[in-house]
Amino acid sequence: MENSLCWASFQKIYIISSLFPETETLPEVETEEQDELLRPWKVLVLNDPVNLMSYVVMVFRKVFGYDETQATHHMKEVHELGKSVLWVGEREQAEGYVYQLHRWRLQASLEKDD
Amino acid sequence: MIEFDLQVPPSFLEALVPFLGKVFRETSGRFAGECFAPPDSGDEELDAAWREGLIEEGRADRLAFSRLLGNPKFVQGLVEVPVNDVDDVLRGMTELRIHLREHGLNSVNDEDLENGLIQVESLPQNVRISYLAYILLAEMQERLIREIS
Repeated sequence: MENSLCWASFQKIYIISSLFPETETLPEVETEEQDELLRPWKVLVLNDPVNLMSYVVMVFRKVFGYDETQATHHMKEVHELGKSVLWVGEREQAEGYVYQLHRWRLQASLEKDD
Repeated sequence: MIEFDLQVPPSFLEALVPFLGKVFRETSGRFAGECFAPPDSGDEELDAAWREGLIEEGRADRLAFSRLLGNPKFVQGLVEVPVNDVDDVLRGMTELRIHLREHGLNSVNDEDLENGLIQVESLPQNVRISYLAYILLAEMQERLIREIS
C-alpha cells in the first residue's frame, strides 16, 4: 500500500504535466531509443553512514516486498561492499523503485544492466 | 498508538528538544528534492515531477515529526506516535539525521559516526549537541522499528 501511494503521487504530478503536450507533432521514437528503453536496468542502493541497518532492512521489505532474510542479505551487501543491486527490469518500474527509495532517503540510482 | 519511554534524564531532553526544533526549521522542506536527484532521463518534466513529488511527500513526514516534537509529553521522555504516522515519522527523523551529519557533524568522520564509538566528552560543545541529537533520533528510530516489526 505504502509503495503504490508514494509512486502514485509522483505519477500523478507527471501525468498532469503530460496532459498539456506541445501542439507540434512529436518525432517518432528512434529504434535505437526503443532498444534502449527495453534494455534491463538495475536498481542500486549505495552505502551511507546515516541510515540504521534496521531502517534499511525495513525499507527493503516495504519497497520490494522482500522477506527478512533477503532484505538483510542486501543490507549487508550495501554495508560491506558499498552497494547492492536490489532489482533488475524495465526502466519505468526501476525508476519507480528508485523514487520510493529516495522517498525513504536512501541513496539509490539506476544503471544499465550489461 | 505506539508509546514508549525514552528513559533519559529530563535535563537531557530539555536541552535537546529546542535544538531539534531549530534543526527541524533549518531543513524546511526543500531538502529531499535537492539531495535526491532523479536518474538521468533527459526529460525535464519527469525531473521536475520527481523533485516536486519528493518535496510534497516530504511535507507529510515533517508534519508528522512536528506533531511528535510538539507533544508536551515528549520533553518528559514519552514518545507517542499514531500507527498511521510511523512511516512519516521515521522518514522525518532520517531527514534530520542527514541534515545533522552534513552540518553540525561535518567535522566528525563517517566511520566514527557509523560505529558510534565517539567519546562525547571529547567533542566541542557545538558538535556535542548535534551528536546527542543524532543518537537520540537513532534510538527513537530503533524503538519505533522494533515496535512495528
